[in-house]
Amino acid sequence: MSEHTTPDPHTLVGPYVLDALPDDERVLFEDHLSRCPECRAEEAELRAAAGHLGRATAVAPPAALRDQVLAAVEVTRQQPPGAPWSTTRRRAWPVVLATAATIAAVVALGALLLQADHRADRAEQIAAVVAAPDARTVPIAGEGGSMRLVVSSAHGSAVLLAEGMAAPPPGKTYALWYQREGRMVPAGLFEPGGDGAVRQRVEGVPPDVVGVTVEPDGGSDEPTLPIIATGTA
Amino acid sequence: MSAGRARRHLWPVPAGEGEAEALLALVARGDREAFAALYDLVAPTVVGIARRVVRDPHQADEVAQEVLLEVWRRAPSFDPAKGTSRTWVATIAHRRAVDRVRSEQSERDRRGRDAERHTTADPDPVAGSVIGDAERDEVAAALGQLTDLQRQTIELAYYGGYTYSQVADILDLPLGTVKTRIRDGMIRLRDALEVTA
Repeated sequence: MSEHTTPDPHTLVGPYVLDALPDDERVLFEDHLSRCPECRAEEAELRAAAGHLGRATAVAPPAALRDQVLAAVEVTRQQPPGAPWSTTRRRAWPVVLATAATIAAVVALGALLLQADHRADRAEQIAAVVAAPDARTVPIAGEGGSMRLVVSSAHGSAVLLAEGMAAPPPGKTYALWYQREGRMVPAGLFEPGGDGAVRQRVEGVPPDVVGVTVEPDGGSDEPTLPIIATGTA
Repeated sequence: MSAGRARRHLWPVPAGEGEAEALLALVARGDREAFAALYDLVAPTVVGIARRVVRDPHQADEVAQEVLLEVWRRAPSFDPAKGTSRTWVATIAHRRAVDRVRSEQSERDRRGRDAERHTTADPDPVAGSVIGDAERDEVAAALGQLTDLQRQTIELAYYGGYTYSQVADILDLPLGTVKTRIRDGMIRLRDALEVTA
């Protein structure tokens, strides 16, 4: 089927305006959006259409709501223009918002780093894999934070995404392994950024089991036990 | 491509459209009276979206209150070049409603329930709206022009508050199919509604 061989980040604009992208994919798509005028134009139009879906649900608000809101407004300062959207989220849902703040930091940092062309290419490659029509997610469970591998067979590659990972011990690095014909073969080395996040493209599609270990810098031919996290593709 | 597409409103621009823009401009300068008037224009949509997505009326009204306060706080950042004030308010409301359901423990249960009855997940998403107006009828008619898959994926994502991969699970469809159906459906919806950004 052609849709499995022509991955296209633009298709994510639909789920994006419906708030149907998970946080990590939303961050990647917003990065793409910042560099794609066509997507921005389409986003504005489709968002307006989504607004109509919302307006069609209109109901009479409960009578008490008006007084509550207007009373709250009396004692609430407005934000200056350009204030980030994440500050409001932190207020309302502190637990979820730690992640949102982390992501905001990643975006801000990413925006700086992406000024270099090769970095932009790398982000584009990551976005293309995540946005691929055949992309599927392999959760990798274990200690050291939440990881998942977004796999696209059409691309022949995957993207490792993680949040809240501790830095490896000095002189060590994390390694991802794919199990092939009963053997664990190295799929790549990675280290979280200062914010504990990992966004890394991995060559090759995991046939079955994937694992994560801690290895000496430079990696190893065989995994050093223990395997700290595993997932099944 | 989009620049060449003719845009015309086939029905009158709803009364209050320009009014909402004017009010939000005043609210952006700290005008609390203007906010009270803007509240009357947009609160029905905010409460409607919150109840549709969150479902539990108590929690939904909490979300609605937070959203309306956020409209006040963030009014100075509103950029008319990016869309109308009503679209902006609906965007905030939907985003916050989705944040709420995704942070909830009951998310799994919700999903199970919708999976069981997915063929009729939201047979008429606009039923139950007490403010019946041209807008509501236009949207119902526009949704009626979509294919079943386009309509189901959009309804589950927007009204159900699901991610596209959850939609794929519920409907037992490949992820790529869900992404493209949602986008194609939204494009068709945009054209049917003659929406301008």
